[in-house]
Formats: sequence, C-alpha cells, structure tokens
Amino acid sequence: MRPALGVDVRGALGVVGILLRWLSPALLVPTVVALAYGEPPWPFLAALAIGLAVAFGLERLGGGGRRTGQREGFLVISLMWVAAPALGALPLLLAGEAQLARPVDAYFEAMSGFTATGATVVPDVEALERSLLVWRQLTQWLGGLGIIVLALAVLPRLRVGGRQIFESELPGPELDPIVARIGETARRVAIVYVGLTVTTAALLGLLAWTNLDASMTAFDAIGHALTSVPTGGFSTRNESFLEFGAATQWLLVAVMAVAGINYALLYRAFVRRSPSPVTNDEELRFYGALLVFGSVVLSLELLASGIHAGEEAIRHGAFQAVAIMTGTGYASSDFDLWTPLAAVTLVGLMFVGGSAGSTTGSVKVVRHLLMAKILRRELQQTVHPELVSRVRFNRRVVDERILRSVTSFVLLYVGIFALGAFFLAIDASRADIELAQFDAIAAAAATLGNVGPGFGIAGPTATYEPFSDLSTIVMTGLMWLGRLEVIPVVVLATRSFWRT
Amino acid sequence: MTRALLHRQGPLRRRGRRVRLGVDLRGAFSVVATFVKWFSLALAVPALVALGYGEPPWPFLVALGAGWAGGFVLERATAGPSLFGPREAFLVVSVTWLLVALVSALPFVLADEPQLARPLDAYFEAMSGLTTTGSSVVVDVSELDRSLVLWRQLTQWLGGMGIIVLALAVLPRLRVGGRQLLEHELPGPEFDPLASRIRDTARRLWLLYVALTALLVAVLCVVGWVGLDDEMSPFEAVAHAFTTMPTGGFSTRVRSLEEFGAVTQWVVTAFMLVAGVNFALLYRAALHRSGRPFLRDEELRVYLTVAAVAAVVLAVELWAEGLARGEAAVRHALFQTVSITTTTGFASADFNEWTLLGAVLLVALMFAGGSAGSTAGGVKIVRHLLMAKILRRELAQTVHPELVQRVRLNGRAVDEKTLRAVLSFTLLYAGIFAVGALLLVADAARVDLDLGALDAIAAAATTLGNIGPAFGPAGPMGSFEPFSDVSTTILIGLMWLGRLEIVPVVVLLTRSYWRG
Repeated sequence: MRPALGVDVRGALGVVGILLRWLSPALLVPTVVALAYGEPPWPFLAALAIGLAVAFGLERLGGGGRRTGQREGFLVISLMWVAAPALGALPLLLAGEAQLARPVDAYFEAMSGFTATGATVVPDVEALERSLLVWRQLTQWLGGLGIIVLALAVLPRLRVGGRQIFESELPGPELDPIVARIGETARRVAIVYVGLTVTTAALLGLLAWTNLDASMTAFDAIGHALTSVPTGGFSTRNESFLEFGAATQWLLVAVMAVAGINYALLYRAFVRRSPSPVTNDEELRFYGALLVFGSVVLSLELLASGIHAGEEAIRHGAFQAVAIMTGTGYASSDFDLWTPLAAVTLVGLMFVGGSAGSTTGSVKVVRHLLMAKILRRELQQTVHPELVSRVRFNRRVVDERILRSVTSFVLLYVGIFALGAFFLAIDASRADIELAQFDAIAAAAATLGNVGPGFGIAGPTATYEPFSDLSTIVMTGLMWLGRLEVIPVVVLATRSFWRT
Repeated sequence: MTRALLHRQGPLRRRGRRVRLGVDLRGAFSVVATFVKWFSLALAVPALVALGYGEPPWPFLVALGAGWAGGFVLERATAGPSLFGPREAFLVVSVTWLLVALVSALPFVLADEPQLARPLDAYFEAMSGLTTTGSSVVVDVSELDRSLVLWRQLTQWLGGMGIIVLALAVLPRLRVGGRQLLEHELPGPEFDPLASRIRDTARRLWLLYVALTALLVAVLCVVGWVGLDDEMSPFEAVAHAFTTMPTGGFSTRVRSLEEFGAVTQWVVTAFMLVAGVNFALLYRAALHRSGRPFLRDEELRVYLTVAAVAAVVLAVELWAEGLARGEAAVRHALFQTVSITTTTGFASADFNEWTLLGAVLLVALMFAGGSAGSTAGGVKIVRHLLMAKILRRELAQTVHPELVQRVRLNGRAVDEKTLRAVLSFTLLYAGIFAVGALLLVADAARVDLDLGALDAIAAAATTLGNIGPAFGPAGPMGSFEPFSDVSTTILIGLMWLGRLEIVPVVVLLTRSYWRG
C-alpha cells in the first residue's frame, strides 16, 4: 500500500524506536553507580522502563522499518535528536534535583548532552548526585558516538555535510537501507572512539595517581574522558578546568585537538596504520593551521594585556582556542574577564568548528576551505570570464552540487544565527535580564555551534540558568539545528519533502 | 577620451617588447586622469556660492586648480597608445573613487574649519560624500560655511551620478553586481566598444536623475513658499534634493530632518523611496508612460514589501512603547524604514533613543539594501531574492536529487554564473563586515572608547552599506568624530569597498589580475 505522504512516517518512527531500544540500556550505568554510592537508582530504572516501552511501541508502529530511504533518513535523524534528549531528561527530572526540576531546563541540559554542546543550566554541578553526574557525562559520550555515525555514514548519503567525497565511502547501490550501512561504519568508528576515551581516562587517571595533579580524582578522570572525546564540555566541577593543574590542561589540549579530527582519518592512521594520506589531507592541515593561529592570537593578547604571564599565557591561549574551536567548551581560565579582542576572537572561533567527520559542531573547516576555493575561483573568473575551472579537494574534483550545498549551508547557518541572536537580545530586554548585546551574540553562536559556554551571564564560570523559558527553548532549538547541520531540519519544513 | 577604444586583441607590443602586466596601467590611468580633471570643475559651484555669501572662495579655487593640474599632468604622463578593456575598468573604478575623494577633501582641509582640519577627517567626509554614505565627523554642521555645506551636499549628488553609471553601465559589463540581465540592454553587436555603450546608457539615466532632483527642489520650494514648513528655504530645498536623490543623507542641519516639518518628511520619504528603485525601470516607465514595468518586477515588489512590513512593525513598537502617537508614529516608522532600506540615512527622529527591538530591526535593515540599478548601496534586494530562490532550489534538490531546475527572475532563467557571483558577493560582504566590526571593537577598546557590540556592528554595517548613521556615539544626531584614526581609516575602507560592490577591489588583490 503506497503511503499517502511522500515519506514513510511510520517507517521512520520505527527506526527511531530501534535506536531508542539500543540507547535505553545505557541507563543501567548510572543505575549501577547510584547503587554503588548509595543514591536512589529508581529515576534511572523508571526512565529505562519508559524508554524501552516507547521504543517497543514505536517499533510496532513502524513494522520493521524496511522502507528507510533518503527522506525517511531526514525524519529519523531529526526525531532521534528530539527523542534521545527526552529520554535523557527523564532521570534528571525524576531525581528530584532542585536545579533541574523544571522540564524546560532538564530538556535543555539533555539536549546539551546529546548534541555534545556543553551549555548548562546547573549553577552548582558539584551538588548533583554522582549517578546524575555520570548520566550527564554519559549523554555526551553517547551523543558523540551518534554524531560521528551521523557525520560519516548518514549525512553524506543524504547529501548534506561538506565531505560527500569520502575515502571511507563503501561502494554499493544507492537503494541499500541506511540502517545496514550505519552498523558497518559504527563498528569502525567505535574502535577509535572507545580507544580514545580509554586512553584519555587512563592518562588522566595516571595524573591523579602520580599526584601530578592534586585535584584530579578517578571519578573526574573518567567523567572528563567521557566528555572530552565527544568534544562536549560538561564538567564534574563547577569551575571546569580552572580546578586542574597545568599538566592536565596540556593533556586536554592534545585530546581536544585529536578529537576534532575526521574519524575516517583517525581510523586510517591508527587502525590501518597508514599515516600518509592522513597528513596530506587538506582539511587536516587547514584545521591544524587554524588551531595554531587561534592559539597564537589569544596567547599574544594575554601576554600583551598582562592577564597571564609566560607559560600560563600560552597554555590558556592554546587551551581556549582549541576548546572553543572544536566546540568542546571547557574553560581553563575565566575568559569572560579577557580583553575585548580576545572575546571577539573566541566568538569568531565559534564559527570555525573542527573537521567534518568528527564530533565537533559549527560550520566545519572543510566548508571554510571549500568556500575559500569557491571565492578564489569566482575572482579568477571575474578577470577571465571564459575560464572554466573546477574546485579540487585533496586533488579530487569537487562536484558543483556539493559546492552549492556548502554555500547554502553557510547562508542558512549565518541567517539562523542572526535570528537567534536578535531574538535572545530582545527577549532578554523584555524579561528584564541583563544581557549585553555581545553576550546575546555569543550565546546564539555557542548554542548553534554546539560549543557550550558564552559570555556574561552565560559565561564559562556561570550558566544558562538566568535566561527566560522562551530563550531556553530557542537555544535548545539552536543546539538541535546546529547538531543536525541545519539542512535536514529545514528540509522538513518544505512542501516538496512531504509530497510524493 | 578621444582615443579609439579597442578590445584586447593580443599582447600589446611597444617598441618590440611585450608588456608583462596583464593590465594596461597607462590606459587605466589616463581614464582616471580624465575623470579627475573634469570632476574638479564642479568645484566652481561652491566657489560661486562662497562669493554669493561673502565667504572665502579660495579653498575651492585652489582645489579646482590642483585637481585640474593633477589630472592634466597624469593625462600627459599616460598619453600614447593604450588599451581599455574590462581589466582596466576594474582599476579605473577603484582608483578614481580614491583620487576624486582626495580632490574633494582639499577644500575641507584648506578652509579655516576646525571640525575638518585634519586630513584624515576631511578625507572621511569626502569619501562619505562621494560614496553617498552620509556618515559625518562633523559634530555641528551649522558652524560650517554655507559654501562648504553646499560642497558637501554636492559631492553626494555627483557621487550619485557616478554610481548610476557604475551600477548600470560599467559593473554589469564586468559581470559584477546583481543585475547582469538588464531589461534595458540595447541590442547590438557584442563587440561594440565598452566606452560608447557606457556613455549611451549614462546619458539617458543622468537625464532622469537630474529631472527627479529638479522635481524635488521644486516641490520642497513650494512647501516652503506656501508656508507648510517654516524651516524650508530654497537653499535647504536644493541642499536636501542634492542628497536625497543619490540616497546620500548629508543634511545641512545637526538634527537631520527632525528639524523640518511633517510635510517635508513625507515628501522626502516619497522621493527616497523612488530613489531606491532601479533607474532602468523608472526610465522605462517614463518612456512608455505606463506603470506596467513596475508591477511585473519581482525585485520592486520585494523592495516595497520589506519597507512596508518593517514600517508596520516599527510603528507598532513606537506606539506600544509610547515613543510616538498616531500619525507621528507612522511617519517616523516609515521615514526611518525607507531611509535605512534605501541607504539614504536621513533621520526624522533620534532612533538612538528607541527600544532595542527598533534598533535591532534597523540594523537588520542595513543589510537589505535598495534595488539594484539605483543609487542605493547595501547587498541589494535582488541579491536577497536570488539567494532565497537558490536556497529553495537547494532544499528541493536535497529531497529530489535528480531534479534539474533553473532559477528564474521576472520569468527569465538566471545564468548559473550570475547565481554564483551573487553567492560569492554575499560571502565577501558578510566576511568583510565581520572583520570590520571586529577591528572596530578591538580598536575602541584600545583607545578606551565606549563602543558596545551593537554600536560596532551598526558602524561597520552602515559604512559598508553606505547608509550613514549608526548607533551609540555615531548615532543619527551624533557623529563619527569620537573614533580613532585607525577606526576612521577602517571606516573609509568599508565605505569605499561597499560602494564599489567589493569585487572590483578584491580582484585587484588576485594574482591572475596582474598576470598577462
């Protein structure tokens, strides 16, 4: 029976159900932690039960999810990133935690988790129960895994994202259901992802054990490994990385930088042990160059203004540059107190992003690279109108359609950012919240770009708690849009999507 | 330009040696020289006015002499056979504006006027005039000599003439600008020399421009004569007509159009709206004496809709916040909306005092721009229109990858190259704006100037879009005087870049431009 709509909504819901079924058991982890620390486990068990029930219900509705074509794919990923935070918010609400008692706030926190943003409405993180903290950190880790699969397997097939030409693309007929492909890619990705997480946790643990960092504990080590690898940014401490020592901060600079690299490249380099195509990758080089550039600018600014001196200035400059550009969002220093030039640099970095095929958000380096090439070609053709030249990436010709989709993405991204910033500024003045215009810009950029902290009331040592409910909802939407790379969501709003 | 103008045939040979550069500097600079020379003559007008009002005429006469002499010398230096093709045109367009602004700035520096004594400030004022921006470093206009004020107004009127030629004749042929499809394109063989076609088009449009200016002068004079506005005099009429038609925005009064009555403000609103319409459309309508070209033009419809919607929102906001009532609310909302959208920049009220929503709306409008083919600056409505169509096509093709669809404007299919040029322009515009705003913030912090984020954004947007007023200290009733020299230079650069539609300048920075 042909569906009346151009999209098999039930099939899509069915797939969402399958994914929820796989996700829900993760709640067992915080359950175990709760039992170990003598905290109530039932919020997690209740959420688990609800999650499984909803999953089964959706699967029954979907009837197996066989007709998952491209259009269903858009619907699935959009819904998945609505459903997962809903599941994630349940324990936060049920736990009776005063700081997360309101559904709007709990959902914001969960969305910030699964989109690996790292913006938080919790002013006193250390007052949360251990099991809740673990769940919070876990949502980012799970979200990160989902994001990479999205970036490497799903989005290219939906012809979104900047790296439709993938070295990791498996040949095969276009009709194959998406679900089968995902499994394959997820396996490969998981190896690298888990490997990085374990390594990070081990190294942090080593720092704690050898007392090179007196404030680091085993709990912190695991907790931060869970949120640094997905470039998320949730911390188990109120003051983020201000609490930890120099060695830890330097380690994180390395971890965050690696976490921002295309996982296809990481797989090639570490699992297949063939590093040469990796170092020749144009995006990787540009990514590295931008990280260095950002670090240098910030370090110089810190030195010049005297906020930090010597090694500290370099460390904090590098840490913040890497943290913001990769969208991780940790803070090693209260950059809200830095100079206006530094602030403006940081906000600028929020629009850069990391490599495509990583967990980072924002525009992504490959798109900036392609845009630069597009512009250069445009200028050349203005001088030589008869010239026909193709844009190349890693020596391969880039299809014109990809170039167009990159420009469209950037336009949409900037447009949505502008609307978001306007809205936040106006809403704040209505609600009598003291939000400077610059802070509105930073908040919009930080949520859309899945970075995390902004400035002012949403600064690195503050939280998003003061915003009104309406603003919180808008920012939740921005995080969602940004994570899904805008287009899959906007497409749902067009008529041609729903028609046959 | 008395020499024959040819299309590039091959490498230019001079005394048996091949020219290394890809652009004929001699050809370009001889054209620049001619422009500078003839422009200088305009300084006779303020000289006469000075004599009329008993003010010293010699700053203008000296400037006239210097400009003429400089142009003459340059002409002689570049005499000889040369080529003039598209590449030379880019250089001419970029350099002419810089040099003509220099000549315009001379009277400001030479006159005994403390507010414009510093060369950089004088150059800012001159550039603001010629690019029809309207930003000013002058805190109190009423202290200036009448002749200086008139010269300021005149620079905008002359700038407007230059822009019409640029936007409608030169840039489309260089494949820059949003309206490569010009309905008024004259049929003819494509190898017609570049210059004579430009001349043709220019003549017709100048006629329209002068006619509209004269009409506005007449209407305003009548308003003053009949007694509907006590502040209006023939001098004010001429002065403001000189800056309305080029959508410039310089006023003879400190508080801009706020000092005039409601009738004047309504008249100016109407003429600003007309000045923001594609001149080719206006010409067509006048020629055929029908309104049909207007109704069918998509850009015009969007242009009017944007102005209307913004005006309604603003009017409601003013009413709701108690800032204005009834007719005044509508008038001020419409005036400001039209003023900003057409990039004129007059102010009928101090919108610096309005609410944040009003400010945000006006700053957003700064990115709209007027219609292509008018004297307005900014991104231009047609580009926004094309971008929306491009986006819609992109989304449709995301769902239906096999779809092959052309973007259409006014029923005609738009060339893919044009679409790419529009996208590139917007990217460049956004990028330059962002860098400009960033630098302004950084510099303001350096010199301890209290410049908020919105103020910096508005300052960058208003200069790049050639609008005029910003917010904060550089608001409609304020001036750009507080900015440091570094910031002033950046702002001058933004005005220049914006007026030339960015690409002709950026092209000069590429290697392929200079290579043979």
